[in-house]
Parts: sequence; structure tokens; C-alpha cells
Amino acid sequence: MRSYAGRLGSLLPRATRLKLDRKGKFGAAILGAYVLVAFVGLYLVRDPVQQDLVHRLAGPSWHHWLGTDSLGRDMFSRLIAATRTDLRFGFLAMLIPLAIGTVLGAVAGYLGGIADSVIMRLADLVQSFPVILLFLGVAAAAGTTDSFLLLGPGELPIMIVFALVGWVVYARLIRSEILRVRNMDYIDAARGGGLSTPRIIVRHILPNAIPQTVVYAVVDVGLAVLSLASISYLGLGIPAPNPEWGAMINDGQIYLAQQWWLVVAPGIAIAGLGIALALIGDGLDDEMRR
Amino acid sequence: MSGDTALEVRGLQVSVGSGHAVKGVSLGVRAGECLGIVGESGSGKSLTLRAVADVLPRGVTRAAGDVVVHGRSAMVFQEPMTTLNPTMRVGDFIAEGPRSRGVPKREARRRAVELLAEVGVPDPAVRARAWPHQLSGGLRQRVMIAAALAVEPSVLLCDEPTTALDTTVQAQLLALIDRLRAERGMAVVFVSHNLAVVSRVAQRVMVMYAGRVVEEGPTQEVLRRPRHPYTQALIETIPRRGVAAGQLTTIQGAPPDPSEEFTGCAFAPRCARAEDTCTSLRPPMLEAVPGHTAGCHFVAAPRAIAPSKEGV
Amino acid sequence: MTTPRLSVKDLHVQFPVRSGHRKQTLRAVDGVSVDLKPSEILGIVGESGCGKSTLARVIAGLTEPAHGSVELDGRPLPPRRTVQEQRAIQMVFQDPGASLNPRLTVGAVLTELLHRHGIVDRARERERAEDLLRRVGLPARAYDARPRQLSGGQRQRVGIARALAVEPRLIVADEAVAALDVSVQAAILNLFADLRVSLALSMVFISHDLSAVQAICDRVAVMYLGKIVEVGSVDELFSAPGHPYTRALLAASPSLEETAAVAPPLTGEPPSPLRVPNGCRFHPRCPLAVEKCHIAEPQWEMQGEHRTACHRAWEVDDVTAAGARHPRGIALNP
Repeated sequence: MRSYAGRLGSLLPRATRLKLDRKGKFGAAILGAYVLVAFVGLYLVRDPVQQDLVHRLAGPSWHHWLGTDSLGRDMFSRLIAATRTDLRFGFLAMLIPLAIGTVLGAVAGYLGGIADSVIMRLADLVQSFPVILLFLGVAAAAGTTDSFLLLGPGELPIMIVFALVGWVVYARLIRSEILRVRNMDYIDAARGGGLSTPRIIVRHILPNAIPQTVVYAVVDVGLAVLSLASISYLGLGIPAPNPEWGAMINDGQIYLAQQWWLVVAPGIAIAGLGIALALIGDGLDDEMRR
Repeated sequence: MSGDTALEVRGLQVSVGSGHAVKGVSLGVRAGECLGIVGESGSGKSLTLRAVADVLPRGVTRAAGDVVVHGRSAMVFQEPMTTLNPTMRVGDFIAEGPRSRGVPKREARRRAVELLAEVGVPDPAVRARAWPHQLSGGLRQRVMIAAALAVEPSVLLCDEPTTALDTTVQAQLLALIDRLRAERGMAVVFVSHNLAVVSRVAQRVMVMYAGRVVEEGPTQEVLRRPRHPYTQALIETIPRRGVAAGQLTTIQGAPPDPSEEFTGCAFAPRCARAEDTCTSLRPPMLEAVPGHTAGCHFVAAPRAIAPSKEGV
Repeated sequence: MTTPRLSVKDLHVQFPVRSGHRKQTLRAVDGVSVDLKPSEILGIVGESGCGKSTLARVIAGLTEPAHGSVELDGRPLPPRRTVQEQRAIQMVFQDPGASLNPRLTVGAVLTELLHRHGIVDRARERERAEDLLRRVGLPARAYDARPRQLSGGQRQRVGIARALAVEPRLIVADEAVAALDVSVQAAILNLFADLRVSLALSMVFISHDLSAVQAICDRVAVMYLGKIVEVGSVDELFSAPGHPYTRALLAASPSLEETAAVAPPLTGEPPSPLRVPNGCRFHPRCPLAVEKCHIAEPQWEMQGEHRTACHRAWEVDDVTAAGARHPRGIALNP
């Protein structure tokens, strides 16, 4: 007999095994292109951190498709290289809070009572804390941390802040979904049939409580990328010289009047990813409502 | 009872997606008369009513037909809690109708209290200041009826207004609707899946099946001498005294998909006395006796259908 | 005398309710005792809020009582049941849309239960599940269907198959036909009647629909505000109701037999179980209430097996006439 852990593993695919409508498929195609670029793009372009101070702020040309930045680095290469950083960060910044939030939300929703009160007050506390202070606090540390597992140099402290803050939404979502599903007659029928509590949670409650969260999680990847770009723009994000869309916008903005593409190109990259994810999320949502 | 025509519908078709869920319904109701529309889910009875009230759900449209209301119509829905505005006191909710016609606020409020009294709400002046969630299901439905009356309708459209209520409260509301019809000379269209409920308020009844009217006539005449095999079966499926458990009549098979089109009679696949003609030729509405019509080839020779025990 | 299949003894169920700052106790079931013989169908009728659904949940082991006991074949069931005790009483729910897990196939729902209770070995699970489906009048291919592919009536049949899967000794059906179309209702009622004969099934049939109760029940209990006010065989209770409330319910029940609209015999609405009246709890709505009814709770009046808790049991024949003259409450047909 398969273990409950094994069943938990098969939960996500089961919850997402849904057809997508046309707009969802369109979004998935765009996302596929981003993922492809993230994986192979780096091998097709030149070194994104190679400086060339002689050719600073060059305009678009055959040699430099999107020109060069203020340190003479090839903008197109940096844009492609940043795809990997931002996508990887975005997905991790969704998955880690999702995992924490699902566990805490499930505990709060199913057990109720004191566990529920403690977890939800903790969530209130986190939500009322000014996040920007946290980022200011870790900004100094970010410059000195090395790579850690899947995370690049300087990313760990930022990811910790994302995890500390991000789980709250997932916990609330899962909790309210569990409270809804718990009251369905089929849960009473499962209890009445003598099924064990872990089985009822894993096979009857979670598969019905998770889909709504999956929709949000898809959109959340885009939100995480946007947040990373925002804090990078404020100079609190991933440290130089590693390319990242938000940091690129920050670098380029003083040249906006002459070299506007330095800002517009990473801006389009962020917007495109956000739109693709929103389309997928919307498509999943529509399918689930049928 | 024989007042002027208050509501006339001719050749009504309602389309859902690519098909038609209502396939040409005509009806007329006179002032002071109540017409009951009976059918199972998917028969098109509610869509017919909603098309008349012009409140069809999204994606559902009136494809053809004329609806003529002489005066105003107002509708009462099945679930008052989703129709009442939870952020308005019920008195103000009822006063919306008169106020939209330019009645001053104070006058409209006074009118709301009068209407609450008319529909049998105790302490109407106090109840007018209550919020919807403070009222029981039966009182909420009375408030909905008061709000409907506030627009001074000549036609009251009721969509299963008592289905969600207890039988004791249902009996009170049926009596209320009957009294309002008689006192105000209103035309009433009462839609329900329950023949027995309809028989308490309606002078005339219309039975619908698969988007079409299959039988129409005076209520008692239709109940005592049903001419369409579907109506006969519908009456016989109701549990009643003297029928042993397990011996209740059921109708073989399932109702067709609402948008399905038939060349012949839509009920033929489930009908115990269907013949070849029934599947090839759609029966027109034939008059059995004056005022009582049925869409069956065998109207002239009604015969008890053989009870069957299979179903669903 | 045989041991009753089910014996409910002085059952009380209470729920804490918070309204504003006040904490109150809602007495949903307020001292119910009733027996059920093997292969008997007992109907329980009453208005919403009378506690009939709560009673069903307690019998099925889904809600814990505050006081009193549920005995099965003479053996009391503890408030927290073992898997075996849980299995013995199964429930069929009202809403066939909400009573099936939308993500599981019909087969998965049934085999899960067969497996849990070791009823058949893995190899014969499918065969057994298909037997169950046929038994409730569904084709064997329904095994692979998901709930949304089935009609309301078919889903209700799956709900019945699920209840039968664990071979229970008693089934509790809570408004099991209320959400179905009339013709489908008749088919499900026939199915219950067939199962009672073929499986010697005992059943508690909870309903607000008196015609359905009359069709398949042997005995009926009438509940009002958490208490049973009348119990008797279907024939006795429907032909000679002893309690004015039962008579009011019968008069309000829509049927094809009567002609014109009649005056409603019962005024007002069911009072809240948060404020149970003193004396006879029906007295504020009762057309026959006298001084005694305001003060003393009525004891059982017996006519053979037919019991009524009313000070004026079987006293007045025509409540409808009395109701029309009754000054209290909402006058509907002045």
C-alpha cells in the first residue's frame, strides 16, 4: 500500500490536471518560451557581465541588438541572462511560501481551536509588519551571502523575507477552503463510512481545497518577480553585477531620455511574464468553475 | 374572473448556447386569473417566466416571440435571501419601487409599511426597520411579495416562491397569493415543479416538457382528466394513500437534454403508448374539450397508461 | 418481544450559540426516545428547526449528544464509536450534489469503503462494487463515472450504494428525496421499498414531505421544537391524528385531493429553539390551547401503540374550523 506521503506527492498533479481554454493555452505558450530562454538562452549569448567601457551606452546595432548599458555590457545578453534569475526566483518565491502556508493553513483549518487562533494571530502579525523594513534590514547581508542550493549569490536573505511574509496568503486561502470543504456532506459520508482522519484529509479534503490555491500560486509567480523587480529598483534586491530585470530598470532610468530601450526592454520582459501567468491562472480558474 | 388580458406571450423561444431551451411557448393570462406552469427541471418553465420578466441569466437570450404586458409586471423568486439587499432595511427595500417613480421618501416609507401589513407581516412598522437576516424564511418571502406589489403590478410572476419553505408556511403564502390575486384583480403566473402546490392557487394550469407546452386547461379538469400521457404519469408518480410502497408509478428513462430537437413528440421515447407516428410527426395542440388542449396524437382517446416500475 | 434494532433513549443535543455578547444554548434535540424494529421504516417529520436532522446525525454517529444513549440491537453505542460501530449505521444525504466527492469516481468511492472494512479482497473489489451499483438500479459502467457526469437521481442512487457498501444494520435517510424531481422521487422511494424487502433493511426516513412518508414508512414520529409529540403507525397517525400539530401538518401538506385554496390552519412560524415556550411547547400556536397547556408539559396519552403528548389529545376533530376562528397570530383570510 502506498504511503500517505506518496499520495501527497501525487496531489498537486491531480489538482492541476485540468484542461486549459484558449487564453490559458496562449499564456502557457508564452511561459514556455520564457522557460526555454531561461534554460538555453545563456549559452547562446555573450557574457552578460563583460564590461566594455569604450562602447558605453551604444545604440542598438547588429553587434549589440539592444545596445550597451552604462558599463558597456551587452543589454540583450543581460536581458536573456536575467530571465533565468527572475524565473527561478519567482518560482521559488511562490513554492516556499506555498509549502509553509499549506501546512499551517491545513492545521489551522482542520484542527481549529487553539492551533487555529495561534496561527491566524501570527498571520495578522506578519501582515501588519512593514515589509520594506525587513528588506532594508537584509539589504546589508545580501551583499555578502554566497549561493545557497538553488539560490544565487545574495538571494538567500531576500528569499527568507519572501518566505516570512508570503505564507500568510496561502495559509488564509487553504484554511478558508478547508473550512468550506469540511462542511460538505461527502466529508460526513467519509467519516460515517469509518475512514481514518489522515485519509479523509489527504484524499477527500485537500484535493478539493487546493485547486483555488493553485490558481493563485500561478499568478503569484508573476507577483514575486514584480516584487523582486520593485525592491531591486529601490537598490535593495539582488546585488550587482548579476543581471536582474528590476535592477536593469534602476540602472537605465537616468538615461531614459536618450537610451529609453534600457528601461523599456526589461519592462516588457516583466510585463510579458506577468501577463502569461495571469492568463494561465485565469484559464485554470474558468475551467474549475465549470 | 373573466377580466381583460393582462399578459400575452406568442411563440416565445429562448436560446441557450446553440439550441433552444424554450421552443415556442404561447400563453395568455387575464386580470384576476392565476396560471400555473408545471414541469420538471429542464422543462423550460423557469426560463419562460424569466423571459417574460426580462431577467434571463447571462448567455441565455430570447430568440423569438412577443411578450405583451398590459401594465407592469413584478417577479418573486425562489430564494428571497439572494434577492433582498442585505445592506438595506426591508422597509427601504420595498420603498425603492415607489421612490423610483418619484414618490417622496416619507410617503414611500409609509407605503412600505402599508404593504407589509397587506402581506400579513405582524408589527409592520417595527418590521420595516429590520434587516433581511433578522427575518425568517417565510417573512422574507412576504417582504419580497410586498416589494413586488410596490410597483403596482398588473402581472405577478412567481418562480417557485414556496419551494424553500416549510409546508405550514407554504400553505400560508399560497393563501396570501390567492387573496392578493382576488383582491387586487392581478394576473398571476405561478411556476412550480409540484402539481399539488399549483392546484392550490391556479385556476388554469399549463404542463411543460422539453421546452414545449404539452397540456393546458382548467386546473381541476387537467388533474381529473389529464389528456397527455406525460401529465398522467406526473400525477401518478405523486405518492398517495392506497398505493403500496414500491408500487409508485415512475416514468421510464430520463428527460431529454433541454436543447435537443425532436422531429416528433419529445415524450415519445418515454411514452408507454407511443406509436410510429409519434416519433415522425410532432403532435399539434389539439382540443379535447373546449378550453382543454393537449399536444398528443391520442387526445381524443385518453387511456390509462400502464404503470411501470423502472425509472431514472 | 424482539429486541429493537434501534433504541434512542432520552436523547439531548445542545449547541452553544453566541449572539452578540450573550452566550446561549440551543436545545436542538430536547429529550427524544423512540424505538425501531428490525426491517422497519420509521418516518420522522416536522418543520425546519425541529431537530430532525440533528437527531439523524446523532443516530449516525456524526454529532455527539449531550445526554442520552443510542442503542443498536440492545447494545449502547458510545459517543465516540469504533470503526465497526460506525459502520453499522449509515446515512443517505439530502443534496446529491454535495454528498459525493467531485474528484473521485463512483468506483473509487465504493472500493475505498470495501477496502477499509475488508469486505472483499482487492481482486473482487470491482465486481462487488458493480453488484452494488446494479442493486441500486445503475448500470455497471457507472463505476468509472465522476459525479458531474451523473444526473441528480443517479447521484442519489450512488449515495445509497455507498451506504449499502459497508453492509450496515440501519440506514438513516435525511430528506433523501427532497432535492429530486417528482418522477425521480418516486423511483428512489420504490428503490428504498425494494431494498427493505430484499435486504431486510431497517431505516429512519427523515422528511418534511408527508406524502413520501406515507408511501414508504411503517411508523411515523412527529417532532416539534426538539421533542417527539406523536408516534404511531402510518395508518393510525394519518387517519386519526391525536395532536393538533400533526393535524395542522396534514392540513398544510399539498395534495391533489382538495379543490379550492383552504384557510391555513396553523398561524405564525416555528419559534426558535433558543426560546422554548413553557408548558406544552406548541401552545403559542395551538388553536386548542387552554390554561393547563401554558403551565404543564403534557404526558403521553396512549391509544394502543399510538402515543400523543397533548393535554387535549384526540379531543377536537375539526382543527381547521377552530383555526379559522382563532384570533392569535397572523390572520390571513379575514
